[in-house]
Amino acid sequence: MRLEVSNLSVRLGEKVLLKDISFELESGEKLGVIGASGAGKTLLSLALAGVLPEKFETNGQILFDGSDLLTLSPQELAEIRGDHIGFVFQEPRVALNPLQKAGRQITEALTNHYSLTKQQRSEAATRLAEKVGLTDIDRILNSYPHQISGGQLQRVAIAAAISTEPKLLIADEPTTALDVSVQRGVLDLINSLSRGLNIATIFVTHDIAVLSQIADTVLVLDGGKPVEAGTLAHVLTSPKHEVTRELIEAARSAEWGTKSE
Amino acid sequence: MMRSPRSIFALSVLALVALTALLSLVWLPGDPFYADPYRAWENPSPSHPLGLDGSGRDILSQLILGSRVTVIVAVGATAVAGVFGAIFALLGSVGRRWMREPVAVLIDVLIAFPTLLIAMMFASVFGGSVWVVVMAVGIGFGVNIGRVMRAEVMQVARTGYVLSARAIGASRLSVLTRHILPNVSAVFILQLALAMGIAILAEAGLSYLGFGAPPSMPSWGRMLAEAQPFLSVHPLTVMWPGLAITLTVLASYLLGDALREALDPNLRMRSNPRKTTTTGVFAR
Ligand SMILES: Nc1ncnc2c1ncn2[C@@H]1O[C@H](COP(=O)(O)OP(=O)(O)OP(=O)(O)O)[C@@H](O)[C@H]1O
Ligand SMILES: [Mg+2]
Repeated sequence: MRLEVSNLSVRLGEKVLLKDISFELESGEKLGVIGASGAGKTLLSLALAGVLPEKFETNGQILFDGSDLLTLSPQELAEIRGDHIGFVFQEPRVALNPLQKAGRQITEALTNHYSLTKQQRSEAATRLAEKVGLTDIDRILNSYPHQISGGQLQRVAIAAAISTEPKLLIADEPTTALDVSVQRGVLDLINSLSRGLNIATIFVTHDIAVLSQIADTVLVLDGGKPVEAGTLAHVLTSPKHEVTRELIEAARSAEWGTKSE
Repeated sequence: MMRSPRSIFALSVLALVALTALLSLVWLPGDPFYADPYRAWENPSPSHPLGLDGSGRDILSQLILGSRVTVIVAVGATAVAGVFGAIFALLGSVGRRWMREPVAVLIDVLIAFPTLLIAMMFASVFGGSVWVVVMAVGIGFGVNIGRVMRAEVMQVARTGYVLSARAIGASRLSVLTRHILPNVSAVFILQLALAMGIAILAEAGLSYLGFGAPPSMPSWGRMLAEAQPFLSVHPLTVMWPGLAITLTVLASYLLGDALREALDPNLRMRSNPRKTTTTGVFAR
């Protein structure tokens, strides 16, 4: 898999919300996208997944294995989404249908792209639930989202996203809604999945501490513009831009804050 | 699921009304049209358990026969309102892009026409009849349902799970049938129950004004209208149709409420109601 984004811009009327984003990503690589609130991180991940509402105007190129996602027909796009590109949202409680049981939702992407028997579907759900480290699987698969904890739900959402063994996983702040101990588990999960399945990952966060546990390369956004890019070590040790320095500073003081408690 | 005292009461009342209407097809305690002016306002007696009205007609027989109109109007108007509302709501929210705004404007225009005005227009063309009431209330409240459901569909269409369903390649149709419709069905059913209550009330009102059922077809609304001037002298005569209308309307509201709770696990479990996506991107 090879993803090549060049000069991706998103506008809403006169307002430029994302400007000239460019990066490349290969199988197994993990790109961390970081920026303060309102920097355009969610906008970028939605644009990459092709689910921005119609009122936003998108320009540039998103080459996914050579085909430009921005010029594909809706049918061609629907085939790639979910099958080759998986998506995890910031808030699992919002990203899952409150009226459908978890088991059904884990295999939704699968059933969108392949025809499965009921038997195959429930086997797939169990296998995926095991893969993302869920315990008490039978109960969870037969529960509605409001009967499941946030951390378990995010694992359900991740299981749904990787059900088709996508080549690219886009995760928009998948750990922000979770408490720190659960966060760690989800990060480990994404790390091991990307290694095990050789998935390319785009990981969005506003937290440098989280970023440093997952990313190989980093893209820093500020006000919709890319202000810094490079390997994780390079960006962390010699940040060039003011915004990057501030984010590192914020993470550091947060760390001290917890230590001095 | 529907075991609360409230829903048992609601179902019993509505079942009783429906059974009464069926019963009227095969049996009536007396002749509801036979008028004996010399016995006007006569008090209840074994042969006339609810007494006689101002024209000396048997109240019980009229009440039983009148339930037919109530059932026809309740079922008919609710069905018309549901169909109209669903069409408006879907065209205005997930229909083709170019028709969404015009449909919204049309809803706003139609909502300005009160049900009464629609009924008068129909009645002046077709003459007063039960069907005028059915169509007037159906269209009048259908527009309301259209507006409520359109907003509802649009809200659900912006939620994270619809977004994520699209992000994993679900077709428009499966997004609609699997995610949007199930999540708006509870509100729709509540609206239908409201429509039913309003239809029964409107029938009473329209019959009172002479746009409803013709004199050859007794209805609770007409009975109420005819007896109402004598309320202070013969309160019982007014009470029977009044009680019937009140109980039926109350029952349909309670049923709607009970159904909604039974259908919506979020409400049932008293946990988080539906949330829209936290990102600002999908804000209107
Ligand atoms: N529906 C919208 N209409 C107009 N502007 C919008 C809309 N949604 C987002 N924006 C603009 O786009 C910018 C980027 O928003 P985005 O949601 O991508 O930020 P973010 O980096 O994900 O922030 P956070 O960390 O808070 O999630 C915001 O500053 C906002 O002004
Ligand atoms: Mg965001």
